Amino acid sequence: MNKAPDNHDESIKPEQLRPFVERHAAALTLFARTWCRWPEDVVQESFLELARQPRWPQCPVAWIYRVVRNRAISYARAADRRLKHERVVAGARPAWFTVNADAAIDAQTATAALAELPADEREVIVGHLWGGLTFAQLADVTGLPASTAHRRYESGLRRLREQIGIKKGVDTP
Amino acid sequence: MNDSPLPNGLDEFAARLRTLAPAAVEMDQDQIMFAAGRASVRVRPPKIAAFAWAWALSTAALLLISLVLVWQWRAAAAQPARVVYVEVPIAATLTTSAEPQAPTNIEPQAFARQLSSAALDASNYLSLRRRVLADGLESLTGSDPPGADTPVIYSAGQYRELLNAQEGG
Repeated sequence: MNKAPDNHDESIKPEQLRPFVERHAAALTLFARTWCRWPEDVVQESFLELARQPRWPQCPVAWIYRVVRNRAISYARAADRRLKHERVVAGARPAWFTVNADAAIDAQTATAALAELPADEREVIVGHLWGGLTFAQLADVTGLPASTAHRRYESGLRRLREQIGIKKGVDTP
Repeated sequence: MNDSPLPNGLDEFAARLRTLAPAAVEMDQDQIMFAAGRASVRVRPPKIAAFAWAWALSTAALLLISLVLVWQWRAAAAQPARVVYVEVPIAATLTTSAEPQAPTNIEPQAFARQLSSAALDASNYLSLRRRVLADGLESLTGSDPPGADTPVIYSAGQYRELLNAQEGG
């Protein structure tokens, strides 16, 4: 749902917002989790902000990703100041993905590898792979040119593959 | 750019990654729907929006006036009080006091009033008595300061008569 449900000049109806939330909540939470430790709060507040808008944004998906990104970065900065003494607890990383036997890659391995990526590459990968954003939308979200977003996506994938340990044409370890 | 293939089997790796499902989230969707419901029925009359600046402007003007008045009041309160002495012209005082007093028969009440303003200030009863006996009641209504111990002045004829009376007596 990259476009507004009916007409972006209309106000946001609850029946229009519900499928939008259900479609994007999980990916947005994963997107926010790459920055901060309270992604659910960030996503919840971002959806609330969307609900309070007088009408649908021109591109709701890019809009909500941009809001989530800004909020998550603010949360992370505040948390860095507030929770430096909880570094030990920070080691216990919650699962970013659901454990699924059918998945081609182990969820914990992917979480650890993804967490090791630089933030600028990670946000492009998460936004494109699980958020379904185009590179033009990612450029809108991150403020980068679309070509730069694509380059970061490619280099991030390469780095991620090396960290997970998958060689070309080789199955998961 | 979306469909451009990635080199070195990265497309296949991306497809594998996509099989991972983001962890389920716990969110209060009811709160979001409630906010959306409230926002959808919010009424914004265009007239009110058009005149919204007038309220802000009038409030700002009133605030500015209030601040100026308070500033003026505080500046005035900070200055010390000035005492101005005004001198009464002596000529005017003399004119009023030099007016001739009409010798009239003085009523007791009027006499008492005059006496209260002039004679009662004098603490010396004896000098007052002497003055009344010598010059009469009219002397109290004059401008002479009461209580002055004025000597009795006799004329030459009166003085001679007094001497003759003493010698004869």
